[in-house]
Amino acid sequence: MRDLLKDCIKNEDGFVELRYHKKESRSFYAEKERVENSSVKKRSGVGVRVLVDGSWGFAFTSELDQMSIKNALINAKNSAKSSAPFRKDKIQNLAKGKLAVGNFPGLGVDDISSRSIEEKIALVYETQKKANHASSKIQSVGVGYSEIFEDKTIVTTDGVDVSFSLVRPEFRVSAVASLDGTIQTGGESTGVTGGWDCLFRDRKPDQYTQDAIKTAIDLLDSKMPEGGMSTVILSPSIVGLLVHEAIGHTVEADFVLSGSVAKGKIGTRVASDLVSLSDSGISEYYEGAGGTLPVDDEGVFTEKTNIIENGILKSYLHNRETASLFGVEPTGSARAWEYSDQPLIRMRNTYLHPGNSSLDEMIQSTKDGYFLEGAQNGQADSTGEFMFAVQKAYRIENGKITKLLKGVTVSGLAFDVLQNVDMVSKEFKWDLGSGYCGKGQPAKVDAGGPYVRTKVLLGGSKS
Amino acid sequence: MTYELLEAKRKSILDSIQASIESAKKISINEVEIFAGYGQGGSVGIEKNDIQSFETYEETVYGIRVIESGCEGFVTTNDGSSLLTSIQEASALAKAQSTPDPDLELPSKPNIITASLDHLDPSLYDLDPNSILETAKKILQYRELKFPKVSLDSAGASLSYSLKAIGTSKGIFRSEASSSLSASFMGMAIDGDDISSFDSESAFGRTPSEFEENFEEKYNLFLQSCMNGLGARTISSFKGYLYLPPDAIFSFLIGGFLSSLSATSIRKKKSKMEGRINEQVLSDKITILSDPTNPELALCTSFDREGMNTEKMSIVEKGVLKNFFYNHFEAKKAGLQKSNGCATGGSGSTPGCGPKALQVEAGETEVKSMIHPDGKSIWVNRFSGNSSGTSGDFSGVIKGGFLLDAGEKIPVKEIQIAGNMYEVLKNQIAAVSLERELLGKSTWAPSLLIEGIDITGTSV
Repeated sequence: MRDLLKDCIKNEDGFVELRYHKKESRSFYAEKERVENSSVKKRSGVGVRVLVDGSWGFAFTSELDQMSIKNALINAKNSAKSSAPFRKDKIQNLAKGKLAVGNFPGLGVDDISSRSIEEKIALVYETQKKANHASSKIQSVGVGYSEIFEDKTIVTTDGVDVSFSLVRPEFRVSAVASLDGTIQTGGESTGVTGGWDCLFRDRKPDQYTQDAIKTAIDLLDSKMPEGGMSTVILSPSIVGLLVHEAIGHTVEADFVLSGSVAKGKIGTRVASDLVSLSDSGISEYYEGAGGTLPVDDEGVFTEKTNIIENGILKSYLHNRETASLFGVEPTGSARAWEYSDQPLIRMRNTYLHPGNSSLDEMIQSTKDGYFLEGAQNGQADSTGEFMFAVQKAYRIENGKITKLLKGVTVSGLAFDVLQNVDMVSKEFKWDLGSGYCGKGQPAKVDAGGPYVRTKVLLGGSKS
Repeated sequence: MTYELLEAKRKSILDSIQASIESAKKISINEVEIFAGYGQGGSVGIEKNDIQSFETYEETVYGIRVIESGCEGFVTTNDGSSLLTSIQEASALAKAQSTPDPDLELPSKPNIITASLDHLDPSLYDLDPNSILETAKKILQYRELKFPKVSLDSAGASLSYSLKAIGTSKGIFRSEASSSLSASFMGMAIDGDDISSFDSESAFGRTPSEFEENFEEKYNLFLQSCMNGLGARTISSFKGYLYLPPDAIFSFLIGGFLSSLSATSIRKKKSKMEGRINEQVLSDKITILSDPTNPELALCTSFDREGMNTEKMSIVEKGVLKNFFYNHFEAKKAGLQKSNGCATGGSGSTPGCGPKALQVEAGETEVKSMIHPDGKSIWVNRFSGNSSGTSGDFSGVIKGGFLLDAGEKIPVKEIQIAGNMYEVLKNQIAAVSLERELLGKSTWAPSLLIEGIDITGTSV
C-alpha cells in the first residue's frame, strides 16, 4: 500500500496527503441466554487531502487502485482551488514536527486476530448465562464484546511515509433490576489498546457482571442527593471525564482559535498547584490505554503533551496547521475516525498526574461530601462549563462513607474546579478506555488519573 | 448529479443486490437481506470564522443480514465488488452460534407495496456543487457584518443526493432517493470575557428557494440566540416552572419516553410501559403520533429498515398509550402477524425498533401565557445531561437558559435540573401550547410548561 500511495504522489509539487485506512470492527452481544448480535463492519479506502492556494481540499475513494486514487486527488485539488477565493486567512505553512517514517505494528493485534469467532461468541454467551439467575430482582443482563482493528498508511509530499496497526477490544455489561415498579440499571465496561490479557487484567468477565448487577440492585432503593455546591472525591474514571470534558476540549487549538476560555491563558495559573495534566498518544504509567496510537492522522509522532504543570497552563493540543499559526510543534493530535473523515484536533489519553495523598486520608478528612464513581456521558461548553453524569454517588459524613445515592449530573466551570482541587491521591488508573469522544466524528479516547478532591455543582433534589 | 445518473445508480445498486442474493441461493444461503445506503455530494466546512475545507464525496455502504436456522450474522461493507463474499461471511457468523430462535426470520413481501416517496426536485439535478461555496460565503459575510460578536466554532453547507435500497431473498426490492441542500451552524457569542453558551441550528431544503427561505430564518435565529446568551448570571436554587420550547421537548422528556416503547425494551422487561397499552401513562394534555407517509414531511418514507410499508400510527392519545414500536422479530415474539413498519436503522446495523416522523399535537394554551406563569420559571434553550428511558431519571445542565420572573427574561448560567421523566410527563405538565413549530422540516411540536421542578443554582 505504501508503494502504491507513494507512486500516486511522486510527481506532485504542492502538499498532498494520502491516508489509507482499513477499519474492521466485530461485535458480539448476548442477553436472555441468546446471542443477539454477531456482526462485522468493514470500511476501507483512501482519504486525499491537498493544500492549494492556502486552502484545503478533500476527497476520498473506496477503490484501492491508482486511477481511483488519482481521480480523488484531482477532485480534492479542484475543491481546494474552488474554495481558495472564499477563504480569508490563507494557510501559509504547515508545521513539520516529528514526521513519521517506518512501520509500527500494534500490541495485541496478532493475539486478538488469532482468536476465533467461536471463542468471542462463547465469551459473551457463557458470561451472560452465568449471570442470569443472580437475583430475583434482576430482569436482564446484557454482555457485549467488540474489537476494532485498524491498518493505516500515510504518505505526504513533505516526507511522511508510515504504516501502523492497532487493535482496540472492549467488554461491556449492563444489568437491569426492578422492584415494585422501580427500575434501575447498572453498567460496567472496559476498553484497551492491546490484547485479550490486557483487556481482562483488572477484572475477569464474571466480575464485571457481578459488579453491574450489584449496582442495579443497590440503586433500587437509593434516593436523589441534595443538589448544590458540594465537596466531592472523584474516582479515576470521573477524574478522567473531568480532565477530558473540562480541560481537554478547551485546549484543542481549533477551539482556542474560535474563542475558548483557554484562549490567551498560556503561562497563567489555571489550577491549584497540585494539578498537572497531560494528554498523550503513549500509554503512560502502564500499557493499554484506550486512546493509544503511535502516529496521528497527519503522520506526526504522538508524544506526551504537558497541558498543565503544577497549575500553570503550558500547551494547547495542535495539528500541523494550528501549530504553524502558534509557532509551536504539532502535538500529534490530528485524528480521523475513518478514511472518509478529515483529521481534526482530538484528545488521545488524557490524565491528571498522581499526588501524595491516600484515598483513605481523603475520605477521613472529608466531613460533608460525596464520593462519585462510575463515569457516564459528558459534555463541554464554550463558557468553560462542563457536565458529566455519574452512576453512583456515595454520601460522606464525618470522614466515613455512609449511604449510596442515585447517580447525578455534576457540573462546574473548568478552571474553577481545578483551582479547588485540594487533595490528589497516589493511585493512578486508566479508566475510560471504553469511551468515545464526539466532535462531528467519533474518536476512541481514554482518560484517568488518581482520586481527586474538589468542589462541583451536584444536580439533585431541593431539600 | 443528473436525474439520469441517479437513476442509473439506483438500477445498478438494485441489480447488484439481486444478483448477489441469487448467487447466494446457488450456494444454499437462502435467507439474505441487503440494505444499501448511497450518498454523493459536496460539503464545505467552516471553522474559526473562515472556510476550513471543501470536499466532494461518493460512497455506497451495504448492510448484509443472513439468517441460518434462527441465528443471524451481519456484515457491513463499502466494497460493492464482493457482496457474495460478505454474504458468506455473514452466514459463517450465523452458523458460529448455537442459540437459535425460531421467530428470527426475514419478513415476507407485503401484499401491497406502497409507492416510493422519492424527494427529487429537478432544480437540484444539475446544481453545481460549487454553489454551496456561495452559501458558505453568505454565512461568513452576514456574521461579520451583522453579528461580529458571534464566533462560528463550526458550520457548513452541503448539497447531497442519497438513495436507500433494500433487497431480500423473500422478494422485497424497494428504493427511495432524495436530494437536498442543508446548512448547520454551531458557535457562541463573545464580548470580552463574557462568552455565551454553545448554540446550534440547522437549515434544510429540497429546492434552492425552499432552502434559502429556511436558511435565512434559521441562521438569524441562531445568531440572535447566541447574542441573547451574553450577560448570563448565576441564580440561587428554587422549585418552579420549566418552559420548554418545541426544540427542547425531546431531549430529556419525550425522547426518553419514546425509547421505552421499543418492543425490545418491553420484551426484555426494561421498560416501565410493559403491559400498559390503553392505560393513562402521560398527562391527558399530550397526544403523540408518527406520520411517515405524509409527503409534506422531510423524513417521510414509504418503507422501513426491513422493507415493510410504513403507516400513520397513534402512539399516545390524550395521555393514553396506544402502540409500541415493532420490527418483524419483535412482532413475532409478541404474537403479532406482522410489524407496524417501525424497523429502524440503515446499512450499518441490524433492524431496531422506533418511530418515524414524530408529531406532537398542539395543546390549548397560548405561548404568551405560558412564558409568564404565576411564579418563577426557567426557559430551557438546551439540555446537556443524562436521561434514562429505563428508570426515567434525568439530571443535567440547562444551557443558554433564561430566568422568567415578573415579566423579565434574564439569561442565566450554571443551573441544573433533576427528576423523573415519567413523573413529569404524567403529573407535572402545566400546559401544552396551541402554537407548534416544524422541527427539521419533519416534526411538528408544541411548547411544554412543566411545574414543580427542582432547579439547582450556584448563587447562595
